[in-house]
Amino acid sequence: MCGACRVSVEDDRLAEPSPSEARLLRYLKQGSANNRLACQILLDENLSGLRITPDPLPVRNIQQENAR
Amino acid sequence: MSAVLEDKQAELEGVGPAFTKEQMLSMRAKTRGVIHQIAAAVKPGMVEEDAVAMAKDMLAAKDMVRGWHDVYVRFGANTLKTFGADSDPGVVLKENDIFFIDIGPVWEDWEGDGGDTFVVGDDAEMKKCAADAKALFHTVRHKWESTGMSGKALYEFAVAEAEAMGWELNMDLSGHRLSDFPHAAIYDGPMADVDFKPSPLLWVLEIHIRHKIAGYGAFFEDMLLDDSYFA
Repeated sequence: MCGACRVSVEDDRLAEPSPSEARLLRYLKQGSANNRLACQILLDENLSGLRITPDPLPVRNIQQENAR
Repeated sequence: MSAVLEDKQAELEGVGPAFTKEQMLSMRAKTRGVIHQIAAAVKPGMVEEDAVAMAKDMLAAKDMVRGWHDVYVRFGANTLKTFGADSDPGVVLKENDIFFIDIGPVWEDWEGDGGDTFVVGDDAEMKKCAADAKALFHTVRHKWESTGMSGKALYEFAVAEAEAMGWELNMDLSGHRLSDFPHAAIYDGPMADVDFKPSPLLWVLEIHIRHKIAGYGAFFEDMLLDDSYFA
């Protein structure tokens, strides 16, 4: 898991995150309590209408930082 | 080289805003360090799933919780499995056995990727298998260093060399880009498909050989770099 698909979800129909997902979510910077990894959500009919909001990781620009 | 091919190479060898040579080399060192740390902790009697969990803990302890691909520690017959395939469950490492490690950690903004094979006990054929994977990696790397061969030609060469050594080369694992995360946004295809000479620091060379009868294989993977980085 790379964390690139981090999203925010407020929906109690989702299963609890696995220990691996929970560990990665804790590790990622600037997150919120509602974060999940989209790649770990197993979609089925019961999740119809699920609303998710992208919460991407911040991207660093080393080349710009070095140019300053 | 034609202008079209030059454009193609420039496109496929692009990098992201966080790319630096120093960070890529640092990531390589971190990756190889953890591979050997994991290998040292793998012991006969261990179940493969427990070794994978241990490997993830070791990566996390080194601040590498993220990975751009999954963590693989494969024991015994599972060393025949190709990239991404599920291992047969519950495989226990025997007293005389072979295992390989393949990790693709992400640390901050940079990707690593590496693999190596290890043998416990004294099975000479298994030791030869592990040694041959590494030897073939360097044979192909030397060919890359000393010629203008394309990625495609290098893997054609690798297939023939593996055959001559008595192994079958798994072409599902045939090299790929590496960069500041995520290289997949630039090019996520195999190095064996490119018609130009891959540039140093931007690609990994993968060698996965398999024994046609004995039921095991070996894997070696590292960044495509010249001899000075392998002293």
